[in-house]
Amino acid sequence: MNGKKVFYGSLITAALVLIVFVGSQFAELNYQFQGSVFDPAQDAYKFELSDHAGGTFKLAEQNGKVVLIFFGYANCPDVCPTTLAELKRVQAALGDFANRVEIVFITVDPNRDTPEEINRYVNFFSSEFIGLSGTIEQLEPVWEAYYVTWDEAEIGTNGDYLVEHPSRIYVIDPQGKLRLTYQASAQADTITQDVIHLLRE
Amino acid sequence: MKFESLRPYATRFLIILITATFFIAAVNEIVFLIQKEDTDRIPMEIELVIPEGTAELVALGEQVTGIPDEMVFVLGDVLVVRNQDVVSHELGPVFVPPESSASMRLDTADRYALSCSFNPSRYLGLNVKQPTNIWTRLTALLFAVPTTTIIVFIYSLAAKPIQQH
Repeated sequence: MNGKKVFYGSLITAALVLIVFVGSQFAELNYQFQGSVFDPAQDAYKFELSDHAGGTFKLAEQNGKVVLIFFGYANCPDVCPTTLAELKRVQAALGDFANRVEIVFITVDPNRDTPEEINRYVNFFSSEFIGLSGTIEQLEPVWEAYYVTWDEAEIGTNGDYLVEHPSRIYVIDPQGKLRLTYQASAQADTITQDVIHLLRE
Repeated sequence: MKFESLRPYATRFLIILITATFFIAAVNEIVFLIQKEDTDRIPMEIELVIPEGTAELVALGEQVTGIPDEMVFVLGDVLVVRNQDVVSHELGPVFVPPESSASMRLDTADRYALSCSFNPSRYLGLNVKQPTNIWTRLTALLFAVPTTTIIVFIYSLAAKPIQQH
């Protein structure tokens, strides 16, 4: 009698586990990204730029990781700091997945954003962020490949200027494909869910 | 109080419950059929094509054929934007490189005015509606039947009390 109870108990437990497993797999298969999805995914332009720590960042070496790219500049008064703050929240929310995600900031203002300046800027948000700079000749192909256009607008008479640039976050999947974009106003939890799904694919 | 004395009450309650269910379901379906809209459907993929030369027309302030000022969707629809133009375009959060496509799932029912690079007004209205489907109708039934049954049951007791023998 006890043996029967154990048998049926085990059977019901196994059935429940199976239902939960199949349900979670089904949910994963039917996952809908919340960002803007490239259809079909494009090969991401493989660039090499100087990073904030004095090394070289090579996108081609990031296979197996999700790379989030944001183009901006250190003197930006609004969109860049708020976006990097949100990306810091993404990094925190990723938990154990964070070591498979790179968050990259690429300058659109190479004249002012020297590696030292970029270093100071990205470290203000997170020591894990990667800040990239270079010469205009090195950066132009990257901007073009990621459809980044920018324009300088002077303010005041002391030579200060603002840079108008797209406020877009690009997501490259572990296979090196450009998969998603978000507006800079995207919420951290939205980005986090999509990134985790990309890592699980 | 014995069960036997409760039986007439239970019988009357059950009769009212069944009658209310059929009556409300019938009214529900008749109203649905009369007021049914195009957006009372299951979610689907809806395509919006940006034709070649759109950016030039927009720069001249001219309307682009096939690009409406407002689009109506159902919650859960996927908007696919196909860009046949030679420059990239944006519709709110949707970024579409030239000769490419991008999609976005519409998962919040609301009216949106999104910034739009392929409309001369620079905006495109998106109206995302909650569809009336079998589940919303069943939910309505779930709310209406118990309350109606209880009200009619109480009224019936006042109008025609149950005689205890």
